[in-house]
Amino acid sequence: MKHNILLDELRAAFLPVPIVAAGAWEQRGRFYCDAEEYGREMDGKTWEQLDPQFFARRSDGLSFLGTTYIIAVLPLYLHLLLVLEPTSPVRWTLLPQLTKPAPTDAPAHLFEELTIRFDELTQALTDHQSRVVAATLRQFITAAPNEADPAQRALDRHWHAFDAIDPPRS
Amino acid sequence: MHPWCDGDRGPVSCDSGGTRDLRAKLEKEQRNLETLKDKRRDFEDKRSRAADDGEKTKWTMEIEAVDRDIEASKKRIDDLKADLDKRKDFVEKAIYTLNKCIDYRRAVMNIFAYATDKVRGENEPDIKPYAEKLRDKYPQHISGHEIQITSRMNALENCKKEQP
Repeated sequence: MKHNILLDELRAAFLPVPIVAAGAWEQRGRFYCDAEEYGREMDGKTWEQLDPQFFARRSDGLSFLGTTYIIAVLPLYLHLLLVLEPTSPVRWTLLPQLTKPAPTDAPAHLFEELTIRFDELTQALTDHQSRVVAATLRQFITAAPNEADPAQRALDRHWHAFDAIDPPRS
Repeated sequence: MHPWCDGDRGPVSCDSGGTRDLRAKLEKEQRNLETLKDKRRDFEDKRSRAADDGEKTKWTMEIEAVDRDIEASKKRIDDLKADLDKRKDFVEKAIYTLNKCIDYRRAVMNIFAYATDKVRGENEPDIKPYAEKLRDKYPQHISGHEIQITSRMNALENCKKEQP
């Protein structure tokens, strides 16, 4: 794993609160095959205590979690985006999740559903958290310029508005 | 589904531009080799027109030095060709694995779709409320699979672009 220069910012923006897994799949995860295992791995742990190997392999869970729970595990996935190889499956699940949908995006018939998901997510994040998301996308682009396009798209469509990160607390 | 989607059975992602970078390196080295060969021909020409033994020896040494460069360049070309072959193998494996992953994910999604369909006309009083709940929530609950399929199809398209 590579070093994440934004780890302190992630810690400051996403506090280490133990996650209560109950209810994680009620909003949109009833058909997720690994709900039980994912929930077990998540329950009672803070995002920094989650097993990075497990959550990297099961990054598909992000497509099934309720919004509150996405936010609970988001800092881990932002961290994994920067410390794993840019080709890891995390990128393929996380970056679409962070991209404001456009009507032309595939699958077009999910535009409305994806827009609801995106709006719920972005409205639930604090400005500080959004700035860390933006900074993570920028860092990913810098570190993996060949893989930059999807991260750049996410920035251009929404996160560019959250440019600056708060200075580290002394 | 998991072994095919998690990377246990083969790669599930291709780094963008990897093939292009390798091919560019190979083409650059091939041009370098041609330049070295031209240089050698030039030195041979100069040696054949050398005015004395001293000059002849000088050009012979230059030719020997270029020969060493040519050998090193040929070795680099062989290595790059081998890397390109490995790359081709990797990309083909990733395409195969991703296709399997997508097939399995579709199959899983279809099972849920089939099950939901089965309860569509359910009128049993004990079951009806659950069946209605399942039906009403179906679109947002099935969308996770559709999102995952799209994500893997994007990864697949990316790999296809990386075929040497």
